[in-house]
Amino acid sequence: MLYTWSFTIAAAVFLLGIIYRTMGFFRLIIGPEDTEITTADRVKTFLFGLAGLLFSPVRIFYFFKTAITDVVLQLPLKRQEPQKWVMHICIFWGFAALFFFHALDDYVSQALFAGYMPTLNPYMFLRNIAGVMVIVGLAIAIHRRRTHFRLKQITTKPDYFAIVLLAVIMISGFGLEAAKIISSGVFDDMVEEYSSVDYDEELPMLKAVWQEDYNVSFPGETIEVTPEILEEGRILNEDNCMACHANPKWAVVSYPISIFMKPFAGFLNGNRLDSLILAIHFLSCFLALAYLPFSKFLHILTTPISLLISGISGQQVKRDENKATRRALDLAACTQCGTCTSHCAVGPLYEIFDNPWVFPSERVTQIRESAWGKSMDAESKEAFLQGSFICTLCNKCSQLCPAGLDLQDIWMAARERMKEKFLLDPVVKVREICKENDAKKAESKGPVKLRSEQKSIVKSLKESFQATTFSHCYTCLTCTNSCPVTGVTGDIGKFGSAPHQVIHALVLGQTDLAKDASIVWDCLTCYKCQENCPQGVKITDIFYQLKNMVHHQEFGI
Amino acid sequence: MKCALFSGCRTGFDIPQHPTSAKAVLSRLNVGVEELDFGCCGYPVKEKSLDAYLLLAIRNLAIAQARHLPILTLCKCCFGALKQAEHYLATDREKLNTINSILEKEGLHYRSGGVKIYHMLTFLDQEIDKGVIQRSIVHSLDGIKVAASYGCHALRPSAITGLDTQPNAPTIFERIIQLTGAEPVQWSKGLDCCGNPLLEKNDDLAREFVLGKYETAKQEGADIICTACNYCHIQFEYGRALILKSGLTKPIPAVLLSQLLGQAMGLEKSLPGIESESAA
Repeated sequence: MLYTWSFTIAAAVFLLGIIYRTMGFFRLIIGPEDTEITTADRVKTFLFGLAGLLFSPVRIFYFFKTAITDVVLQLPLKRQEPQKWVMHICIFWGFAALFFFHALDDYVSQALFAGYMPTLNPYMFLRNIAGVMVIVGLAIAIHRRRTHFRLKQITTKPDYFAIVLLAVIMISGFGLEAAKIISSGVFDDMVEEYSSVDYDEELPMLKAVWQEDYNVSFPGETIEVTPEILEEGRILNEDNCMACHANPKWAVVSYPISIFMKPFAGFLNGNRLDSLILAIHFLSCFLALAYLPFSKFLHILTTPISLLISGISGQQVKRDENKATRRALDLAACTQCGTCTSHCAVGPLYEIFDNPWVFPSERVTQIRESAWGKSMDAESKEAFLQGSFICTLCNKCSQLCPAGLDLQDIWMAARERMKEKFLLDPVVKVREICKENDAKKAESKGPVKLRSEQKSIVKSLKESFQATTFSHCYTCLTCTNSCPVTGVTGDIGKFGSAPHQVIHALVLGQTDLAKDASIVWDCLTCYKCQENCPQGVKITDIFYQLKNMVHHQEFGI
Repeated sequence: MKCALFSGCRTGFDIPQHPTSAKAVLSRLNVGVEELDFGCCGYPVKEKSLDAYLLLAIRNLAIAQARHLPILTLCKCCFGALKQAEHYLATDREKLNTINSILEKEGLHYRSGGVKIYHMLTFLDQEIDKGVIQRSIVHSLDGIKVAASYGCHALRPSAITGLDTQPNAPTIFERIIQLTGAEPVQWSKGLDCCGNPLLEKNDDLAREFVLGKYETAKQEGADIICTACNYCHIQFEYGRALILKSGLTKPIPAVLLSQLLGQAMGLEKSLPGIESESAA
């Protein structure tokens, strides 16, 4: 009853979830919203491409090549990091084996293997091996997430929840098998159902064998065991049981567990706790099934597709319609494995900016959540912008991604989207702010007053960028004469359009004036002024410092 | 000799031909190349935060130091950023300790000095025998007039970068170009900025500078412009697209130094501009 109900609910949630996700892959827009590509276009182009696959021998070749090397054997992962490969292969192969040959044994194992019985060898033995594989994989996964310094920074509760859920399935599976091994209740059920032993004479002998050889516990019963009884019992066992039931010692993990369970057999068997463990086992499986479309487990279905796409088309797919679909799919194919983040060219900046969105894996998560409708508060938006534009678009993440994601395309599309929403690159925004300030100041005509409270800023300026030199300026204008920007803009009548004015403002302690000067923000950083200054004033470095100061004031970085 | 190749971020997507051509040239010259897991050089964040810039730059130096390899950059902005960071930390112990305390989290440590930093130009000029380069030229680029775009961040501040002993009249780029048989031209804007630092910040200015470079190079007799910097090259590609879009006469091509050398060494199949010019 519980089984049927819980399965029906889980399967329904799973199916609806998958339909919802699949529709999203064709519907969601990652990138500028102002697009003429419709969902119908995307479905059509996708189906067209799929059909095209059938007619191209080259593509069919790449399809199978990728399916074998990248999806089944996951060789790129092995080349990248052998430990990660062992971890994932253990979980992937172990779980796949259990799913098809154990969970779906009625449909798969029965059909494939003549005389299949879950209680027979080699199935009993292999089931244990598969379970061990998954547990080893999970142990490596936990170890990695707790020790790798980058993974530690990006691992969140859902990552651990996924690991724990799989662990519960595995441990309850072994627990169930062990509880059944010692269970007198299960023994009685099986005798009733499958054997033709005589209850008065033969059953005690069979019980003796199962107690001695098979580790069944019969609490409250005294089973007489003598060599003669065992001999008789073994014959009975051969006639009645062995055709369908191997010695549970072949359950290489569950059997030792059953030995540990034996002292508690009275309690366990008396209350039929094996059925409780069974409930935990199937309920955790069904929970995983229902949870799949809404969690990183979805990658089980999406990552093979994204790997196949990148195997056939390379990093960039051709048509814009497919690009749009691929972006939405790729976001759901991310496994949060952290490879991109560990190798990110600007990832180390997390230590300075304390902004998780400098990490590509965190941005993928954010973009996915936003695309599926989760809103962001203003402060996070600001930080996300910072992180997005710190990215140098070096493409390393796309080249390394074990799931074959075209992250470069996602970053570029996201930038387009932000531009559309007038969310500017902070570097650009800061320029706008300063230039605006500058214009306002130009309107006020009063005389410039020296302000003493600026001293600390001046002091910090002198310390940083080793720019201790601005007070040596004697306004010879060599900087301005060598400045290519002033050369082009021509007019130095307005304050702030020439480098020497900025230096002079600093000499006078007018940091505010200096930081808003247009030349600071239009500086090419060509270092011509600094190179030519007869007084050794580090003009370009001072400009850098002023820009740093404004970034700090505006964004707290 | 062995080097850690520092291709620079922009080569990953925008100009992958830069490392490919450079590796082919280096391999022809028997220079071993290792590709370490370098990050960003720090130049792009320099205007946001000095500490951020120093962390990124020094991290790369520490990675090379751990392997006892000199760094060979292809990009002048990377070169300048690494050189300046090295210089900066040579005198600021406190900063060095701060940066190291962050680097130690990933098992890295930087000892001030001790990492040789080359740009492709300084490497070829200082470490490779001229005769070796000349002997590897199979297809002399006789008669091609080349305008060398120097790239600011490798040239200045000259006391730190040390690209050429004569920062106001450098010849290092021309010396290398001459080895291919091509003829360097005197270019009034050779030492000027390409305008890339202002791209997407002040597009008008950025455009003005790159167009000025294209125009003067042609006027002063160049057949091609040669670059040895990721950002300069991207800027010339941007400028080229602008000129083509505006329908003016086709601009002269801008090629990377490594492509120019590769062409002369018979490593590059076809190079826009060079092939046709030499055939004609």
